[in-house]
Formats: sequence, C-alpha cells, structure tokens
Amino acid sequence: MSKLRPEIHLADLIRAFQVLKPDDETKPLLASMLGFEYVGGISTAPAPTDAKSAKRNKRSTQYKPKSRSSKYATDAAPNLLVEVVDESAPVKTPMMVLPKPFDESSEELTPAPKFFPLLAPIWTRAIITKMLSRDANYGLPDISKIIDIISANQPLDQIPRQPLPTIRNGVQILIDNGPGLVPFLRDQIFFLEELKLVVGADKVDVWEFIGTPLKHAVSGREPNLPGYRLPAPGVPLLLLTDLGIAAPPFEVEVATVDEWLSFIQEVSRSGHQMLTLTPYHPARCPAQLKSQMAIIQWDRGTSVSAVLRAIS
Amino acid sequence: MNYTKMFDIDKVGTNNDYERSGPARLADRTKEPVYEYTTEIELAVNVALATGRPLLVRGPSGSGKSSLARSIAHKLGWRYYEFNVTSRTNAQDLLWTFDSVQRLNDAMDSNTPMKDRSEYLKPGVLWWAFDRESASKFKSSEPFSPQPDSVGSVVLIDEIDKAEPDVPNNLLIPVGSLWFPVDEIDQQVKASTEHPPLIVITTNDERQLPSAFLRRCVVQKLTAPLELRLKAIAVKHFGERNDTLYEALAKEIVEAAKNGERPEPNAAEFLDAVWACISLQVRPPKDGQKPTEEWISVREATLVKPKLTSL
Repeated sequence: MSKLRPEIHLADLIRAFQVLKPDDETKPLLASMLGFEYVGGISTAPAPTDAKSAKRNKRSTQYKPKSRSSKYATDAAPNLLVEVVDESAPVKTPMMVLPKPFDESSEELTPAPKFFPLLAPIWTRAIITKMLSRDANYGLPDISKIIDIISANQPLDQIPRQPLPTIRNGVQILIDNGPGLVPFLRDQIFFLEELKLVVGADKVDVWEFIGTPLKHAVSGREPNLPGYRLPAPGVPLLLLTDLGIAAPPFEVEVATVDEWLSFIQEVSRSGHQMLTLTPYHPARCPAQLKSQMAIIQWDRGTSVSAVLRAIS
Repeated sequence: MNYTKMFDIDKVGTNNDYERSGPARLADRTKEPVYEYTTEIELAVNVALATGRPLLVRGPSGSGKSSLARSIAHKLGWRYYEFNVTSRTNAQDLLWTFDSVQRLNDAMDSNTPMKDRSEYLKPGVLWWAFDRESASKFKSSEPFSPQPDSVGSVVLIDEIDKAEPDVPNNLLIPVGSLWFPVDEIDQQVKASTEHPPLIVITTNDERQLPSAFLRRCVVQKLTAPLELRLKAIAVKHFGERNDTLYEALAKEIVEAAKNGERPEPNAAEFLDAVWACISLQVRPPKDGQKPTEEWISVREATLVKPKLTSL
C-alpha cells in the first residue's frame, strides 16, 4: 500500500469530469477547485506558412500517442488544458525584448523589477517555524523520566511530559529602519507578511526602530507609546537589522557596539530569547556582538539547519 | 424602550419570561441542519466526493464553513463527526488517544490485575469515520452521529489553522490516503474503498496552510454574503413571514460594512440580529420614519459592535 496519496493531478480532474459530467459553463469552475486553469475551446495551431514550420508541425504530430487523441476526445475530455503552442509564430528570445528608450515627457512609470525574496520561498515557512518554536511541556508522558522517578522510589506528584515545539506564544519583531536596511525594504515587508501568515497576524507584535530599539522605537500596535517595551514573558524577539554594518560613513543614527550590548543585556536580563536576521554574513558583525547574540544570515542559502546551528 | 422582554429586572425567578420564550434556537443538534447552498458550494462537495479528496472550506468567520459539513451529512444520510482544533491539538488526537497516565496508575496498584493495552485506547473521530466497526470494539462512546446506521460518514475538522504549523502535515497520510497505523496495538485502520468518508476541513486563513496539504484538497472559498443571500439565509432559518425585517437587517449589515463600521457582512451575526428582533419583537423602521431606540440598540449590539480599544 502506498503510504501517501499524491497531490491532486490531472487524474483527479478526469475522474471529476467523468463522474460529474459538467456542462461547458461548469467546467472552468470545477477545474479551478482542483487547482487547474481551464482554457476552454479547442485551439488549433494555424496553418503553416512556410515549408520549414510545416515539416516541424508534421514531426510533432507524429510523436503524439495515437490513443491519446481518441481517448480524450469526449465531452469529459480535459485535453483543453494542454497548452497549445503556435509553432508557426516567431520564436521570442530575450534578445528581442528591448527596453524602451528613456522618455522624459512620458508619464508611464517603469515597472518595478521582479522581486526575489531573500529567503528561498520554499523554505521560508520552515525557517520561520524553526526560529520561533519554543518547547512547551504538553506532549505525551515522558516514560523514561517516569521510570527514573519510580526507580528512585520517589513520589510521582506530577506527570513529566515530552516537550512539544510551539509557536503559540507569537513573536515580537523589531524592524530596523536605518539607512543600511533601505535596500532591503521590500524584503522586510515580504518577510513580515510571511511571518503573519505562519504565526497569525494577531500574534505578531511589530516594532520599528532606528539605531537600536532602546534609541528610537515605535510600536505598530500602539504608536503613542513613549518608548520600547519588551514583550510578555515567553514571547521570543526577532531582530531584522544590519547591526550597523552597512550604514554610510558619518551616519549619525547608527548605533554603536556599546548601545547594542546594552540592548542585548536588557533582553537577556528579562529572560527573553532573541534571534537576529541580518542580510550580511555574520562574519562581518562586530565580534563582541557575535558572542552575545544568535545571528542568522538572511539570504537565499539560509536553511533550517543554519537556523538550528545559530540557535545552538 | 418598548419590546417583549425575555429578561425583566422587575421580575424575580419563574416570573421571568425566559422559560416561555426559551433558548429555542440554541444549537439543537437533533433538528435538521439548515444551510443555504450556492451552486459553487454544491459543485465543490460533488468534486470532493467524486475525487475522494478532502474539501477545504476557507472564508471569514460566520460565513457558514462549519455548518456546511453537518448539512452535507444530513443530506447524504451519512454519519457525522466533528473535531474542533485548538492551539494544543496534535494530529494524533484525531486518530486515537492513549491514556498512559491511567495505565501507569493501574500498574502501580498491586491489587488490580494488569489490563490489556487496548483498554486505555480511545479512537478519535477519523477512526470512527474510517472504520466504525473496529472503533466500537474499544471502551469509549461514539462521538455525536445522528445517522448511526449509515455506511458513509462526514468528518468536520474545524479551524485547522488554529493548530501548530506541523499538524496539517502530520495529517497528510490519514486525510490523504484514508489510512493510518495504530502503534499501540499494532493495527491498521483503513477507510472502506466503496464508501470513503468525506473529510471537510475549515480554515479562517489566520495562518497559511502548508502547500503540500493544500495541493491535496479541493478548495472552496466562501465569500461574505450580500443582501440577497442574507435574505435567503434568513428565509431558510425563520421562514418567509418576516420578509421586511430580513431586508432591513440585511441592508443595515451591508451598509455598516460599506461605511467601515464593521468588517464584511457575516451570516452568523445577521441571524443573531434577526433572532433578537423576532424574539424581542423589535420592528424595522418604516419608510421615511426615524429608527426606534430598540432598533438602534439591536443594530449596535448584534451588527455594528463598536470596536473595543485597548486601555
């Protein structure tokens, strides 16, 4: 027996079409429920305009399995989902997409370049979960501990339980708005959105700061608060900062190492756990800070194991 | 204010009319569930049944996600089980639970003979839904199921987004393949291939679900109902006799949402408002007339709910 049924695929769509026999109006809606886009209408490639493309079309037709066309050529046929490529059309290569010349009078805005988030999208969820998970003792009874207690002839006044990782405590995220993070503004926004999706928007306490949180900080929830406040006990802190590495020279708002150290001391005095995500390699961070805080590089190559290494 | 009081501060004890007016509409599970289907919802249920995939119902709270499963079970004449997910829910809670503490307690009592491991095992909703016969062999009562003799079953896993992020992934095998092993007694629980259960999962979208989980579900998003649908929902619940009231309240809730006084219209709150007006005999304002004090109060208490600000 196969352990795990595969994801929804074309066979599910075929099955749904066969069983439910939807009309043409219903087919697109049904397909969308299974995650498909129903194109509709039988598209045919236009007649070849030259001998070369005619030959190419002929060759591609020969490779099609014979049974395929007859098998799917019914009302329930989902072959319309197959992308029909117009082979007679000129081939588009990146070289042909020329940028528009700059026109000062034009009011048309240049579209923003495609955004590639710093963390690999496929790992983002796992990385966030791993960064913020804290063990809570509500798992199954810890048999080995129980045996230890009973073997030592001690009273079992409380059932020891196995720790279970949880993110239900939420997170306080501290976002650096200093000049060194300006190139990563979209990454900060994207990361915050991802964080809210994983943890739950109501459990994300957002603060923005310049320098260190103790210098100038504003709460997203309560902008009128006079200064920075640590979260409730048990809520981890997540810093998005460059720790002043990338600040331009003579920038007055950059925090000194001592200022960072006093912030770290305040956090560790309160018993909160703190992680720092920085877009630069941790090797570039000041040595005094590296020894005092868990720093994770905020980059495409960052993985769950990198987070585990930093935490440990 | 002038309305029919169910709670009157001038009366004490049995003189109050609460007993007479009664909590009639409090979730009475013996009654036929009422649900206003759309063609899309009906199609989604059919697709889930045809493909044997779980139906994931997304949408804001009060949009009718949870009541859908019970209505489907009623219409199909199938057994119905439900599990409300909390932040402490583990995937295994839906399969079975094992009372290790009781077993340990019994083991330490030298006067009690050791019982079999199966004595401490309690099947979860998915076990009951997949294989009722094997689940009923254990010493635990069957969860709520109004159609006990049916071969088919509908399981509601309510608000899965409240659980820890790993829980949906841990449910991939039982929910996707309709099979799971029970380690404690070395047994496998399989759903019938002839009558596979329909698993309905709801989410408020408070947290994103893992993509591997999403890709195995038929997804139906319920949107906030507008005036016409709200009226149809009220007619289903209360009959056609209060048409003007339904229209007036539907208009109030939709306009309040448009004005930013409240989030999107919500069927549950709308029905509360209708019920309050019917029970307390609060009537909508007639054309051109100023709304009564009672009408404004019911509107505030059930539809607008002024925002609570932090102190």
